[in-house]
This record gives sequence, structure tokens and C-alpha cells, in this order.
Amino acid sequence: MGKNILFTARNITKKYPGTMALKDVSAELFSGEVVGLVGENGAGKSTLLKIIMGNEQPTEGVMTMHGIPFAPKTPIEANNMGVGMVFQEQSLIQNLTVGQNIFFGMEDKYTRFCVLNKRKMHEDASRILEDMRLNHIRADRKVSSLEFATRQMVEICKVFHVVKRSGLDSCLILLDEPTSVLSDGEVRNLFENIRLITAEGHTVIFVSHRLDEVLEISDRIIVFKDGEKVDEVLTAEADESILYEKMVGRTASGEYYKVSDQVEPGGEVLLETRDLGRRGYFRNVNLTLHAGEILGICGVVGSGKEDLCAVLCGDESPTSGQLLVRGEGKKFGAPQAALKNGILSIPKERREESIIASASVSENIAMSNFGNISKIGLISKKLEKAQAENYRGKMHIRASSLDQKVGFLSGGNAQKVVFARALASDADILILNHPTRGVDVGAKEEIYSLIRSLAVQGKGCVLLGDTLDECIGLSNRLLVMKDGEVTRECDASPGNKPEQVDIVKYMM
Amino acid sequence: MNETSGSVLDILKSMLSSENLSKILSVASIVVLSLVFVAINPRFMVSRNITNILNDMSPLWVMACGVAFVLMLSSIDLSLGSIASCSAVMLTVLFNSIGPGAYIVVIIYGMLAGLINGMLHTYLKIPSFIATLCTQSIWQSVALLISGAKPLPMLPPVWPYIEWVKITFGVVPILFIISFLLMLLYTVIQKKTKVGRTMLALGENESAARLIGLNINQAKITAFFLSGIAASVGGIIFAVKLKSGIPTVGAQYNLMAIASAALGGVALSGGKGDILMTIIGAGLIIIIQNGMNVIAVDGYWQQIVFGALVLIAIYMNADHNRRDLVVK
Amino acid sequence: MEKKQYTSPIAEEFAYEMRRQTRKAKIINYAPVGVLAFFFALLSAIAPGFLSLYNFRTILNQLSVPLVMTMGLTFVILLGCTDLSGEGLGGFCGCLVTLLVINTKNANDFGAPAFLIAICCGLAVGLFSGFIHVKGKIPSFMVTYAISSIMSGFAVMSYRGQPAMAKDPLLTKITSGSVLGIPYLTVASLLVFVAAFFLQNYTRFGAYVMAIGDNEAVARNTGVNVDRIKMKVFIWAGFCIGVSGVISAIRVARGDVGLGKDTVFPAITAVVVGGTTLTGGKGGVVNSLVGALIVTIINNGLILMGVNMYIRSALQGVIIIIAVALSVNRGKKVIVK
Repeated sequence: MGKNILFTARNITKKYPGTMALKDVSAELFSGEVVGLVGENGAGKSTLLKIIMGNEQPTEGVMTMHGIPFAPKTPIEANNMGVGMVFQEQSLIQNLTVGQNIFFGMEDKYTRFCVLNKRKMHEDASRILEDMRLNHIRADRKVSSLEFATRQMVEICKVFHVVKRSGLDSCLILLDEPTSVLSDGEVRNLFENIRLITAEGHTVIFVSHRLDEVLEISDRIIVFKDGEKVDEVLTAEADESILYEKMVGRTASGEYYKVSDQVEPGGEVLLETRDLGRRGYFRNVNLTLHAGEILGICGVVGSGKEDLCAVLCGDESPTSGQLLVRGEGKKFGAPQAALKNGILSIPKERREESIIASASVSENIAMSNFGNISKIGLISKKLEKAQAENYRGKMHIRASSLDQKVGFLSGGNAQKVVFARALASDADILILNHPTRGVDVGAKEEIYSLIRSLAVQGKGCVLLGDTLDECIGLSNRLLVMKDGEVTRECDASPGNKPEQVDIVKYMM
Repeated sequence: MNETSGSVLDILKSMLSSENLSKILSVASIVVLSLVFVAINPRFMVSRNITNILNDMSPLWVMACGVAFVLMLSSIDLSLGSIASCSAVMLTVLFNSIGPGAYIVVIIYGMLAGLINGMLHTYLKIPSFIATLCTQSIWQSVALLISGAKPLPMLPPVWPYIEWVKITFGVVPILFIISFLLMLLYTVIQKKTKVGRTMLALGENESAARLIGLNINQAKITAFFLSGIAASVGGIIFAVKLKSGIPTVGAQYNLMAIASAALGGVALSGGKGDILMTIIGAGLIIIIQNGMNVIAVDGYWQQIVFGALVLIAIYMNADHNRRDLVVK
Repeated sequence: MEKKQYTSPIAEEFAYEMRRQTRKAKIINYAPVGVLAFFFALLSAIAPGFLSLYNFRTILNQLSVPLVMTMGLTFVILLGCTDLSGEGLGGFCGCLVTLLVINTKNANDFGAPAFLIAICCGLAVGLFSGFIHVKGKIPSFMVTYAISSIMSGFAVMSYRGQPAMAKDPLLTKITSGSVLGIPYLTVASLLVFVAAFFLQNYTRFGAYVMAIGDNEAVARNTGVNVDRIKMKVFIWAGFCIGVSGVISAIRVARGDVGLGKDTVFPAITAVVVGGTTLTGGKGGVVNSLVGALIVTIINNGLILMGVNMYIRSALQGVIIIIAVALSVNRGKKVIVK
């Protein structure tokens, strides 16, 4: 088609301790095209973007930009090579004006004798905004006074400007879920702008969970699954169902998830919600969790499942509806109140949210229930050690000693410590938020057995799986969430597991 | 796995050494300084001076034990000194009206003052240095108002209430025994109770401690509560030792108590610390102070030296491996 | 016909929620001015002699030290840090001035350059605090608290026992002089305010300070040398503390370490009451001017009503607690330590 190659990636691999985030990914991008990236959560899209932006370095593989080797160490280096990114979280400085934000970090042009010429800055900013048909945004307004969606447009505008400023004929712009907070009109405006800048020869990578948007704006779509690029299709030849199929791929054998150990849930209802909602995050969620049941919740990032999880374990408060534990209405002020009612979560970010890195293995196991190891209200070192020894044997925690600090354990072993703590806590409702995240394959299987044994013991688990496959494989029943609402509920008993494609349809 | 465990071991080694460095240095400097002071002035090691040192050390040690809890949360208690001053003044005044019951009233006051600090910090979400700076100002004002801004002497009729202070066991004075007992109690709280464990956990990683289901507010309030009690006990010791209620007696001890805790290995980044070790810090500070007095160095040097000691000790306790840490 | 619907109800709910918060923030922005007006009206009504030309001059006089201190502290707090060193450092700079002009202690007669020397000392100590905070990764409140103690030690050491009395006629000239009815010292403090206003709004430095306070990671990723900016802020704070120390020394013509006492507390009160949040990134020097005015008129009114000075300082504590409690973000789960 006579297009120039703008960017290439060859055999990019990224390893994290215990996991492979990207496996041997290669791609070529041409000037002036829009490439959509689609895939499940954790399929490797974000990792790839981070590597292109210089936030992370690849373990293996090389990239080129304009035909020369490209290995940015920082986002600034990437910017200078004409690569810019709009992040999911906004990165504008609230208390500065729109103009100051657009020119943040490049005030040199407007500084004379240490004085900032703000008027000129705002004039130039207005011109840039006008170019993007954002005439209604005034450059001298403070960002904090703008609407949330408008801020997003300013952010996009800023990034467009940053890459154009590199002076290169064609630049690469990464958009990571840019539309999640935009209104209809703004999405249309954004798309027009994307078309405008690609017409100038720039290239855009567009990541979104909304397949209709991806299909509308992109020329080509790259599909990711489990850290691998599984396919690359021309948009003209694709539709939603084709994409769904490519995204989910083949299913792991049922035995991987110990389906034969799956038990029929008991009759007792442990947890129930009635029209539960949190304003701006999710609403009208009705779920019931029985003893011995694993209830999987599927949904993309931003579907509200994380927020539902936070409400269930007492980390956030609901704004509407009811939460019933064993038939009694409850309101939790903090996770500690939830624990008193037998609810404990295993959080997603292990290092930040669930281990005390400088405390020992035995201390960490004891954290959620001191009753087990105390005599007359005082902690007994002996009982603490005995309890830890017990779990170490049962769960095969590999640590040099029980006094070893948890911060020095591998991801899988640290996660086993977290599970040991959950078992020791005597909580019978467990909220498992990505329990196998960052865990190597061997440890994964052990954790699956563990989750099964929890169900056998009659505990109820709410599961947010690391992958859709995992969620289906482990659960007795599934809830699918989209845009803050439950779109489907289905049975997932052994032999009756739904296909991933059927679930994905309701997620996106 | 193997290659990571190798590097992990290295990190462990370096952690261990840096962790104990300040303690080892503190102990070594106590020994060295004692020798230096003995060399300069042979009277330093006379048993009367030892008793003096132990006597001087007791209020500081008590306060250091208290503030160590707060520092462990990576918070700070700046009101310690003025709670002590206020306690000293209150004790002196109350002896005249209610007799020995004053001891109990003053300790209850310390509990309340600590509770107020803790609640301001947790329920009103005020950063601890601001909250305690405010209560510091408030209690200092109260002390000055009660005493009329001048030292209140204890009059002969109340002397029987403080007769016990003179008891000694060998060279060890009773005040030191009292501080020792309080330290013991605090050590048990730190090591053997849920609250103590919670404090360490939340100093290190507050979000995790919260999600684990630990009672964070309770632990924070308890830390300030214990600090308040320690401050009032410190105030009582000042008052009975000096036979008077001086409204500014605790002021300079605030920094000294923080310095003692820091020298004893409590890190401001939280998650690290040991009440037992405050004895090293308090000992070091008092030996420096006493030694300076004995060899007649001017008083203002003390402020300079203790200020510098705080910085050095905290620098050594800080975990420099955590590059991404944002310190405000 | 091809009108596609992109947004979901929950997204609209989210947008609505954000809009509500923006509106609320706007109202809170103007609250300090309301508070100032309220106290002005209240004190006019109940404090005898509050509404008089003479008293306005007094207020302007009383404003000078807190205003200068506040200007330094504002930038530090905008970063999300704190500077408690004012007590010792201010005292030290004050002592230094009296020892350098004609005084009862020594034969020095530097005249006006003495002010400059003292201010430079403040600046240097500010740099030192900033350096230790940034490079040693020690929380700023701890560093500056220790520095404060060290500097009070040096202050007492500088005069050994008896504070120096300044005998320089220059000082009396400065304290008695005025332009347009505004005392020289107040003019000096207003100049510092103008400089601070300029720094915040018309330099790169001001924008970067705001950015670091708002989101340090973003600033770092944009290539801002965060450590250097932080150190510069502490230098500026040291400068302001130096100036305030000099102003108080000129006013009482006596170089006592107590000069710095009770200056930090009102300054923090002023910053917080003015609406600059302790978490950083919100507020600014204009807020702090309003805050300094609030603190000064309350103090002035209480003096006029004959309230005991100890009660006044206790009241200040209560005011800070209320102001901070009102300004903190209640939704946050993890709070500032």
C-alpha cells in the first residue's frame, strides 16, 4: 500500500518473577493508521504499552522507531522519539491552568529572565485546543474547575501536542481506555481528532474494552491472549463475534482447575445482596452465596466488579441496597468489621495490600486471628510457631524458616502465607480477588486445590479470577458484570461449564 | 527461583547489618563515652553519680518508651513534653487538696490527653504532627495558667507523699525501678498483644493492615494513649524529684525522648522498633548530658548535640533500599 | 439514524458525582474569605477599639512576622511537607542581627548588610534541611524539628547568657518610619508576599511545586527534577524565616532566642486556615495571605479584649484543629501520618 513502517517490535518478552507477561510479541505499525489492541484483562496489552512508553524495559526483544533502534528508559525519552501516551488515570495537575498543563515540562519557550509569560502560553494553548475542535475549553481555566470528561480531552490534547512537538513527520500515540469517562459527543470528537492526526501521517494505538469502538475507529486489530499476540486482522474483515473467539482461544482442560473436586453447594445462604449499589461504580447487584459455593464474577476493568468486591469486604461503603450476612442486614465501617462477621478478602495487590513484608511468616499467618495463639489475652510464641508449622506442612510453604520475612518469599509462597492466614482467621466467607496473580504455574495448581478444599470445608468464596478461563473453571456459578450492572448469571457446574465466548459477549 | 533466592540472601544480609547498625553504634558509644568522661573526670563513675544518672534517666526513659509506640506508626507525638509539664504542675497543686490521690488523678489526666491526641488523629484525620503540635500548645498554656507561669514548690505538709523517692536498692534508685516496670509493661503490650502487633503492621503497610482486618483506629489511639500515660508518669517523676511543679520542665524532654527512641532503633518509616531498646537510647542521652554537666560544657550544646543525634539515628534506621518511597 | 450510544448509565452517574465534587470544592475555595469577613464583623462588634485607624496600623504591624513566615511555609506545605524549623532558625537569625549591628555585646557595626548576612544564614540552613530531607529520605517534620533545636542551641551560644541589645539608630529609624501610613516592616513583609505571589504564578518553579504536591510521580515522569525543586522550596522557606527573624529583632532591638518562639504555630495556623491543604497541591499564597489576616485579627481582637496570652495560644491550637479537620478529605481511607 506504499505505507512507511513507523514502528516495529521484534520478539518482545517480558518476565516478572514467576510469570510471563509478554511472550515473543512482534508487530509492525505503519504511518497513518489506527491499530486496535484487544484482549482480556492481563492479556499483556498494558505491559506492551508500558514497554513502548519506557515505563518498563523488555526482558528480551528489540524495537525500532523510524527505522532506528528504540529502547526508551523513561517516558521522556519516548516523548523525544515522538511517542506519547494517554493513561487511564489522569495525570493533569489540578491546580494549574489548562495551558500550563499542556506545556508542563517545556516552559523554556515561555520563560524569559525567569518570568513565565502565561498570556502567550494560554494563547498558544488556545490555538492547540482549537486545532482539536475543543474551542469550548478555555486555556486559562484551572483544571480543577473542569468537568471530568473535559479533563480527559485536555489530557489527550496535551499528549498530542507533546508528540507533535518532537518535530517528527509521524509520531506514535498510545491511547489506553481513553473513552471510559467520555460522553457520546466527546467520543465522536475524539474519533474525529484521531482521524485528523492519522491523516497527517501519525499513528495511533487504541486500547479499549468496547469492541464496537475499536471496530469503528481502527484499521487493523491485534488480538492478545495470555501475553501472546494470537492474531492480527483487518477491521474490514472482522466483527465482534470473530474477535470474541480469537480473544478467548482454547480452554484449559477441566482437570487443571480440579473440576472433579467441585462440590455441590450446601443449602445455607452465607451472603446475600439486595439491589446493592455504590454511586458511580455499580448498581442493583443481587447475589447469593451459599456455603461451599464458589461464585465467580466476570467483567472487564471498570465493570464495577472490583468496587463490588471492596464493598463486600468492608473496604468501601455501599450507597444503596442491602448486604445480608447469614440473613442479617449488616453495614461495615471497615474490613475489620467485616472480619468480625466472618468475611475476609484476599486482595489483588499482594505486596501493597496483603502482606506485611517486614514481619515473619508466622507473624503474618497470625495477623487475622490472634485468638488461636493467645493464652489469657497474651500472644504465645509457642502457639504461634505451632500454628505456622502446621500450615507450612499443609500448604507446602517453602521458606527457609518460619522467622523469614515474608517480603523475601517468592510470589507463590507469599500467596500461600496469605491463604494460610485466611484459613487461620476462621472466616467462612472469602473474597478472592485475583488469587493467582503473579504466581508461577506450579503454585497456581496448589492454590486451585486449596480453593477447592475451602469449598469442601463449607466456606463460601466470591472469586474474581485472573483470567476468564480460571473464573469459569473454578466457579459453581457465574455473574457477569458490565458497566456497573450484572448482565448475566449462569450455572457452571461440572460438565455444564459455559463457553468463554458466551461469557465475553456479556462482558464487552 | 535459585537466582532470586541468591540475591534475596544478599539483601537480607545488608538489611540485617543496617538494621542493627544503629543499636551496635549506640551501645558502643555508651561504652566509649563513659570511658571518655571517666578519663576527663574520675568522679563520673562514683556510685553517687551513677545513682544520679539513673535518677535523671528515669523520666526520659519512661517518655521514650511511650513515644516509641507513636514513632512505630510513623507518626509523632510533640505534646509529650507539655503533658509532662502539665502533670508536674497538677500533681503539685492537687497534693494540697486531695493528697496522694493526686497520683491517680494525674495519670488519668495523662490517659485522657493521650486519648485526645489519638482521636484527633484518627477520627478527625488530622496529621499527627499538627494534632500534637496543637495539643502541645494547649497543655503548655494550661500548665502556665495553673501555675501562674512560675515554679510551684511543694510545701512541707505534702513532703510525706514524696518520701518514698529516697528509697534506693544499692545504687539503683526507686524511680529507676518504676521506669523499668513501666518499660516491662510496655514491652509486653508490644510483643504479646494484638494491639502491639497491629501497630507494627500498620507502621509498615497501612492498607494491608486494614484489609487484613486489623483494628487500625484502635491501635493508633492506643499508641497515643500509652504515650500520654508515659508522659504523665514522666511529669510525676519530675515533680517528686525536684519537689516542685515547674510549668516548662518537660519542654526540652520532647526532643530527647524522640532521640532516645530513635537511637534505640525505632524507624520513622514504621514497622521497626523495640521498646526494650529505648534503654540504650535514653542511657546514651543521659550519659552525654551528665557527662557534659560534669565536665562543665554549656547547656546550649545539649540542644545542638541532641538535635544532631536525632537526625543521625533516624537516618541510620531508615530503610534506604526502598527507592520508590515518597517521603513528605 | 446512526446515533450510537457510547455511554452507560453508570458512567453518567460517575460524571454527575464528579461534577458534584467540583462544585463543592469551588465553594470550599471561597470559605476562608467568608471566615475572614465573619471574624472581622464579630470583632468589630465585641472588641473595644477594634474598628479604629490606630488599631488598623497595629494590625498591619502585627501582620508582618506571621505573613513572612507564612509565605515560606506555604510553598513547603504545597509540596506536602512541613517546616517546623522557624522557632530555632528565626531566633538564630534575630540574634545574629543584633550581634552584627551596633550593640551592647561587641564592637560590630555592619549596618544594613547585617540584615543580609542574617537572611543568608537562614537561607543556608534552609538548604541544609532540604538536603537532609531529600537525600536522607527523612520526613521533613522530623528534620526541621531537629534543626530547630540545633539552631536554638546556636542562637543561645551566639550571645552566651545575656542577650545583646541593639543600639543602632538604624533600627529605630526603621521601626518608626512608614510609607503612606504603612510601617516599613509591614512594607517589607508585603514585598515578600509579592515575591511569593510572583514565584507561585509567574515562574516554572511555582508550577512545579504545585505539580509535586498534587502528584509527585507525574512530575517525575515529565522530567522535573523533583529533588532539586524540593530543596529550592526549603531554601525559600529558610529565606522567609530569616527575614521574619530579622523583622522581629529589629522591632524589639534585642537578640533573644525567644524571638522565634510562637511564630511557627501562627504561621501553620494561617496556612491551614487559608485553605492550603497539608497533603499538598491545593491552595497558595493568596490563601495564606487571607489566613495570615484571619490569625492576626483574631489575635489582635483577643488582646483588645484583654484575654490572657496563654489562653490565646491555646485558642490557636483549637483553631488549627478545627481548620484541619474541616479541610481534610474525609473519603480517604489511609490518612497522613
